[in-house]
Amino acid sequence: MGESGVICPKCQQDNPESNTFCGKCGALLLGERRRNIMPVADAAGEIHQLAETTLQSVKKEAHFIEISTLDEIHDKAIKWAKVQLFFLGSAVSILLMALFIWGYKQFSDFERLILDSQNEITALSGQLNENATQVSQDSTRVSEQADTFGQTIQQEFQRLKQLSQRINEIDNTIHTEIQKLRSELLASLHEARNLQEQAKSDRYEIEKIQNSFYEIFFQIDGDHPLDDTRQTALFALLTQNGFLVKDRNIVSRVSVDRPEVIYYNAEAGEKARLLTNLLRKNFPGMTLRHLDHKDRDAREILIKLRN
Amino acid sequence: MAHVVPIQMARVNQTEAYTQTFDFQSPHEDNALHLIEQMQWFNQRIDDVFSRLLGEANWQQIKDRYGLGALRDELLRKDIYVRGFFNFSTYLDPVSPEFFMAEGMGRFFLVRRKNQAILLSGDFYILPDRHSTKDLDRGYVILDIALILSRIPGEVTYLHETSLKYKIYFDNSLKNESVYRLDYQRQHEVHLPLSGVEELGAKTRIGGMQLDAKPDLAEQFKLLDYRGTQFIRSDYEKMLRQSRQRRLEE
Repeated sequence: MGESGVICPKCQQDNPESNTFCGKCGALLLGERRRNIMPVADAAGEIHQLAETTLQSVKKEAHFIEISTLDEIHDKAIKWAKVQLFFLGSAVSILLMALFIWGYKQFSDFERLILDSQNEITALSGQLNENATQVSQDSTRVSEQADTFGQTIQQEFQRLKQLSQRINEIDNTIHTEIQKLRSELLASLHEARNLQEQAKSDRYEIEKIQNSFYEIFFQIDGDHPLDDTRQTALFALLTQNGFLVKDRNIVSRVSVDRPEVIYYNAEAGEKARLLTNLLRKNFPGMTLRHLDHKDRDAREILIKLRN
Repeated sequence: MAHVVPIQMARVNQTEAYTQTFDFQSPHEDNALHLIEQMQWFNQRIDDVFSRLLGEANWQQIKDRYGLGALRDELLRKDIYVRGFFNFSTYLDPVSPEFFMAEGMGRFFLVRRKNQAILLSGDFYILPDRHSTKDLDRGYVILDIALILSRIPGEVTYLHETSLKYKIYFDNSLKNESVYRLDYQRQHEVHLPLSGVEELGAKTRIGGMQLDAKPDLAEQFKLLDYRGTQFIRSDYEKMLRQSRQRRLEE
């Protein structure tokens, strides 16, 4: 046999038989359920079934009471909450109202401010438009001037470019000329140096020839003689400088008091100094003396050597 | 009758002028040495002789001024010579009449012929010495000379004394008559021995001296007459001994 639902007496909502309360309005469905139970029982079975049913009903009742109690608590709690919510909602509504009023006021001010601002913006916009127009005109003018200036600049740039090219050409020409002059100068310098070297060589040769005019006498000490190598090197040095070393002018193995160069006439002083400087390479103690003696030939120079 | 005469009668003083040249003999007779080597030898010889004669410092100044090469050539050509004069005294030894004494002094100048330049001047002293008349018989006497260099013109001159020996020749052609005279004809020898005892010879000879005077030609004779020495007084030795005694007593 199928189980049929329980109709809520209050709102006519069909509820499942297991419900104790209406699922729509929450009304108690117990009495109705009883009325809806079909009378199906034979005697024993019915009693037993009734017992069972009773027991179950009791249980269900207990459960139902429990649930009812809970529902009631729930309802009361909801009611309490609704009351609380009511107060809270009232307070919030008041607050919102206050806020609304304040906000409206503020909004009015804001609206007025916005209107003022709109007016001001409108004025500014007009002015801005005027300014923009002015700026546009200025810009146009500046643009025209810029164009003119640009053209001028372009022209000047072209001119400068031409000038630069010209300068480059001149620079190249100058560079070429400088290179040419430099080459010529270097060639001249080289030639001058060659001439200078030649002149120096000629002067040296002339000096050597002049030196050869001088009669050089040697006195070489016997107690402190020069070794042959040193003497040969010394004579070679003098010969290299044009001085003639004649065997007949060499007096060796005699007493010599000190190494010395003696010249007898002031004219021979320069050559005597030259000789002294040459000899000082081998004889650091070599001295120079002028012994005025008119009887002697002006070109005679005496060299005294000792170790 | 015996004749006696004072010894001073035999004293002879004579003044002579002379010219002295220098001789530097070639080292080898056969001239085997190369000319350059010969020159070097002469250089050494001249340098040695004049260093000893004049002193090294004085000689160095002469060399510096004139050059040894030039001096050598002129010396070898005898173009550098000595002009001088001296006073020479001889007298008999009062104690030993077979001996005679000789002493004297003189001055000399070293002259360069080419310009008559005086290279130096000096004095000399003939040291008193006793000589045997036998030396006169053999023809020469050896005189000790102390040479004192006095001046090198234009230079600082350093005192230097040298001992020379002069071999003075005498004309002994009248030795049998005991009459002698200086030989004016020949050159007298000048020697520079290394020591007083070195024998004189070619090695020591440095030159010759020629007296200017030609008395034979001018008939101005200067004689050393030692005739009659047997007649001279012989008491000089005794007198001199007494003199020494008296001085000792004083």
